Amino acid sequence: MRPTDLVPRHRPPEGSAADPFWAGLREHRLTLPGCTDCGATRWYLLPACSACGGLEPPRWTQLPGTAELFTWTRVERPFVAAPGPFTLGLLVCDGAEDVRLVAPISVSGTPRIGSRLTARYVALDDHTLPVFTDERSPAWSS
Amino acid sequence: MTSTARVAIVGTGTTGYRREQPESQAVLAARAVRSALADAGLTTADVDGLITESAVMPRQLPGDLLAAACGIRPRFSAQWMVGAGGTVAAPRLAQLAIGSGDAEVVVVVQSMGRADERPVDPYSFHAEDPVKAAYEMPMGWYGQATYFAAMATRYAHLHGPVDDALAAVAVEARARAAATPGAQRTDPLDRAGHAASRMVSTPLRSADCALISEGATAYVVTSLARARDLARPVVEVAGVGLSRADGTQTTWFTQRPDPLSTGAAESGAQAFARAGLTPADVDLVEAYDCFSITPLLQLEDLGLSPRGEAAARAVAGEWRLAGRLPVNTHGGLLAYGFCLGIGHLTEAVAQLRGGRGAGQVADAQVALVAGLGVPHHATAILTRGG
Repeated sequence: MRPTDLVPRHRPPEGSAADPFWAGLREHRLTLPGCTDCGATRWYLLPACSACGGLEPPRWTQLPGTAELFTWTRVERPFVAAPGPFTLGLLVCDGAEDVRLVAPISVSGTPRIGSRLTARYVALDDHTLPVFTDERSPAWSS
Repeated sequence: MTSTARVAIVGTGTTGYRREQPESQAVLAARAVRSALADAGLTTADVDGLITESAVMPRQLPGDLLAAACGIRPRFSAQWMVGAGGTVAAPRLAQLAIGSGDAEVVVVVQSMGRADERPVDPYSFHAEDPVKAAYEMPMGWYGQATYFAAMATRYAHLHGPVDDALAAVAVEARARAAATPGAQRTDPLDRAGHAASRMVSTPLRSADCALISEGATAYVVTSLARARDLARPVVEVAGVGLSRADGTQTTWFTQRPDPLSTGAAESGAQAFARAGLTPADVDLVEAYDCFSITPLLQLEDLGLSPRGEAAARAVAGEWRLAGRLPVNTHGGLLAYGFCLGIGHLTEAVAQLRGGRGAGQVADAQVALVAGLGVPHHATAILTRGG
């Protein structure tokens, strides 16, 4: 199994407020936007900060790329283009514990809620996805 | 002190639900409205209020076209709250309009169907959200089954395995639909059939997912005084509660503080307070069931099951028609038809009137309807008589 087998193929839109997120991933950096007024992570990036109502442009901060698994599901019947089934995690990232990130995961055996995972990066034709893995992820073990 | 008008639901009507209907969304809506008015012994000339939910139906069928199709000239016309939050909360808005004198007879309608040759599609509604397109769809987090599957995984982590409970909910829904006129899926489903149905997003199988449906349902609200002069047994709107929005349509699924709570704790408490009733008074529940996990979460929020025990109680049969507290006595979105909660409300009316035959809850006096709207929730408590 190759890393590209693990992820869907739905392109992010261009010209949205999320552009810096996808630009960071292309350079293998996980970045999230924070409120310049109160410091809360703004995820997702809505017009106002949900914590303080701040309206100023966010400050993007690089995270270490480690996370704890909050919950997950194995998508056997994808509703976006994909080479096959994939597993998704809802993750609490170190450095942004006030929000949760959805991303593909790849671990050995059944995922365990509460386990510690680390982001790797999978380059596709037009964009790069993070995949959160453990040390024995089958896609990176060979 | 403020007083609120006492109102009743005096008519219900539906086209019934099928995977595809030969007629358009607007025509289906018109048929459901005429049927509901005939049931009430009223005509379109009596109607001066029209309510729909605000998010799904107006995308394809704006309110003015809807009113024209139904032959209604509303003075009071409103689209409010999202999905089942709107269809279940609508009696509250009708109550306010009737109490203020802005309307006397209010019709609430929900129609799923084709418009301008565009097929009904429960997914595209979410795809049009630019936030979802930018952050979630590229990750593969798309399709409502995925969101609720992740909740079910978390529930199982905290409270124990859920597979048998999901199967129990899905199997009972199909059995209840078989005893309900107009239901879409009436073919029997047993535990083996559930286990053999296609896995969509673990742990949810296709039998755990709402149907895709076309059809329409309407109901009529007017003052209790006028209801007593009409033909049908009186069903009073005893109390409706609304929860505060928890984020947006998109952030609700991933970012709300407690991902296993639905807002029903807040809407339920308000509905019980307004009705002067408690969970112990409830004889039956109609709870939004987009997936088989969803009613279990709401039962716990509403105080109708101890926290973390709704799944085990489903396995024990507590929510079946023959159980302690029957839930979704028409088969719900899983088997009756996907109609954004309005079918749950009209089924509660049918139960309180009596005459549901093989699907009747014995001596039903108090029915609770739980409408998950995302990012908010509505609970309506209806009572027989009044």
